[in-house]
Amino acid sequence: MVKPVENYLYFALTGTAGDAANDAVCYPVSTFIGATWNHAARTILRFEDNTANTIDGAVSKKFNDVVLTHETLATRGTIHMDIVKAMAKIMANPGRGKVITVVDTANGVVAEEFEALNNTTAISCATAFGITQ
Amino acid sequence: MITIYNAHATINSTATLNAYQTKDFYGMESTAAGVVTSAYLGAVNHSDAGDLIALTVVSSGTDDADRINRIAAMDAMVSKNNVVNKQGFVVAFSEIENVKPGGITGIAVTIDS
Repeated sequence: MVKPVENYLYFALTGTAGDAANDAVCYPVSTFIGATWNHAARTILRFEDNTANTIDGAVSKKFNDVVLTHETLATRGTIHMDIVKAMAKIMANPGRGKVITVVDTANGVVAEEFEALNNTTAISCATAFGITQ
Repeated sequence: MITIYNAHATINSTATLNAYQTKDFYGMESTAAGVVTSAYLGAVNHSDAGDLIALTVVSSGTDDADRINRIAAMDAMVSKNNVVNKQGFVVAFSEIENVKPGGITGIAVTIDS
């Protein structure tokens, strides 16, 4: 059996990302479950947890949250949709086997697809990752 | 591919903007006169429930007209969920963008919890 190769999405918090537990996360694109509103200036992304995937018929409430902080609804009414569309474009990257930096807050890096949404308020991971390890 | 639903002109709750993997679309059932309900895999991963999106179409009062309206809505959603493009997403319904295919007049999202 040939293992499918796919892209992975990297997110990091502020500070010295990667040197403490849960400072940074990296998930395969295929584990993305969905996205929804979280706050006027936040959108939540959900990924399948490493201990639970649908193929295995896992128990419920096992998923990982990545909350993106961004420009507020008050100044850009479509911001949540724009964020989700940009995420979809990132996930549609035709490459295979890459680690794509979506938001690296510590280093002020965002994916190219986020650049047009990054001017008023920098897109960041300001909320602790919700990890169900 | 990601399928996007926007139920309201103002995105201010979890029921007003929802995005799912197109592959997680489970299908549709009629759930009332003039209503078709779609289901997607929910984040909580319950085996007996998913996230539900009720699609409202015109309920004309006659069974045959209602059947035709429902089929138009189902057909539109099948088309949306079968889209493949380079940008990686399709907007299935949006109040903000006035995307209302198949005679669907409004949607209501219920997220499984």
